[in-house]
Amino acid sequence: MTLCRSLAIGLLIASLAACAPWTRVDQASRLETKRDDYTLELPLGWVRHTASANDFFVTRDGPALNYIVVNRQPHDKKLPHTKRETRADMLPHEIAELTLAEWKSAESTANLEVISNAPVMLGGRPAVRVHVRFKNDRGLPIERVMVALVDTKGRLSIQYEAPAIVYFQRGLADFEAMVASVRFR
Amino acid sequence: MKHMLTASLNLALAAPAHAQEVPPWAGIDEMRALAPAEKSLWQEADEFDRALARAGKVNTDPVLAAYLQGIMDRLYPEFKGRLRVRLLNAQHINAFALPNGSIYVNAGLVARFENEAQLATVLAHEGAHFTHRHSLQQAERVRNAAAFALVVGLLGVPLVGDIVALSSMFGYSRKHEREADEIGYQRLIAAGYAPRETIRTFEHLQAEIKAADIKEPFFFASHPKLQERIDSFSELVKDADSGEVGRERFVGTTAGLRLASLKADLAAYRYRQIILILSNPEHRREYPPEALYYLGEAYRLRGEKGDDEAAEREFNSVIGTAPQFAPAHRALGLLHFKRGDLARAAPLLRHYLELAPGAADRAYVEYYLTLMETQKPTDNGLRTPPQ
Repeated sequence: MTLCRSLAIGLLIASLAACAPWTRVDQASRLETKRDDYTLELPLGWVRHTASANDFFVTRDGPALNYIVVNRQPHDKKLPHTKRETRADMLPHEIAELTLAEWKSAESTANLEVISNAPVMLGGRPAVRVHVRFKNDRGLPIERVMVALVDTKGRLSIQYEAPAIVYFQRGLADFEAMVASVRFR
Repeated sequence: MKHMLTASLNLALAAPAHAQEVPPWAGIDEMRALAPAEKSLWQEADEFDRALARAGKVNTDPVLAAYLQGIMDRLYPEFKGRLRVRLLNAQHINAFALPNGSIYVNAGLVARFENEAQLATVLAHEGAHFTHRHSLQQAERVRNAAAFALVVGLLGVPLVGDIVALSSMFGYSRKHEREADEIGYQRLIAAGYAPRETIRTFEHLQAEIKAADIKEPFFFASHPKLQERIDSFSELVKDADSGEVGRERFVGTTAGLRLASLKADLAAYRYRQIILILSNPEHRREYPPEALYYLGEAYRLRGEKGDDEAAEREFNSVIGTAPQFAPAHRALGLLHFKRGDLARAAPLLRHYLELAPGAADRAYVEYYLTLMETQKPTDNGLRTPPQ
């Protein structure tokens, strides 16, 4: 019985390892193309979650410590908290306003503090960069920065989040480089 | 899935309590030697108090704190020092009582009321949960629900598995809620508040729920239905004497809170709530002229037929009555900008920056002004940035 159980556990571990959804980003795999839409460079040495429902999800030290998530969604997919849709004709400040409204409507980030909020360019297109800080349920300060835009295909967002102490600064340069690498096709 | 789990949890909490009935507290002296079960509940509640404070969720305005505490002490004078009211920096309409006498009321709930008697209605109700030891009576029931929640790994419930949090967030049994309504009503009358305001309290909340298109908020999760409560209070107040409404004191003390609440509602796109409050002339006169800016913004966000014009009307009204209020200039300028009326937009946006040189959104406004100066607008208001 014990042997059977050990075998079963061994097989389970082997099968899980065989389809591990995490892969380290190296030079050969960092340049990514998403659909016929855009390309970007993932940060070297970070670990990518290949089974993610997002366009991209990468972490340097583990999802609880830092992550970058890239999402491309159609305009008519309602945002989870405000239940609002986006439109291609939204002005940059309206995108930022909706981004903040979405976060402020979520219980965990309702009391966020805006550190900066300004128009930027993403892949040569007008976008916004919103940087906030909030405390999580355990009182740990978290920082989050998102660069986002809308166009005729929908909305695109690149979000980086990490604890304010040590971890946020540690991954910020990689995030900025990833944002700067975006090119639309 | 989450709905199913939540429904199951609610069912568990709605089940009849088997815990034995315990007598209500008669005064503070009785609380000196708590039985182990109750002591444990109080310790959990103390920890919950500390967690909320650590998370920065408790409003620290001393004037508001003293005001709320004053109402509670008037309602429950023999529990002064034990029933401690705290204001939470949260906008959803909620209030709850912890077993140790901590009463929390959300800023968003306070901002929905018109006078002190309405606020006192809620505080009197929550105070009754403490004085009648409802937490202890349903501890076993909630403990079972907590275990259930742990097992299924229910997401979205703050501090899941914490008995005190579950009890507070999901409310008490209907029997306890009815009892708290009755005791609260008696306390309200004894303190000299106008009993008729109890009906208005629940009417406000009913309108709020309808406007926001939300399910029953936590405060009402296991309460009798709002209409049922309005009906039963209507019956009670038929023969009641008049009492103090406390409108001026409430309006004066909560002016900043209510304005901040409008701002928070706007920032979170709760525009229906803003329209609900400010389209009511009774409510509107409790706010300064610049509050109509928030109404204009709420119309803009709602975006229904005629809302654009309604927003313009409100912005112009604010500029007429409070010309130094910078956000109205910005809002009207952006409204013209979206319409492609650059001749009107540019001066308004420039004036906004003059009035608010340190505006947080200065970069956006300067960006639009640059675009207006360097190129003609396209259909959607400028997709191409300046080179």
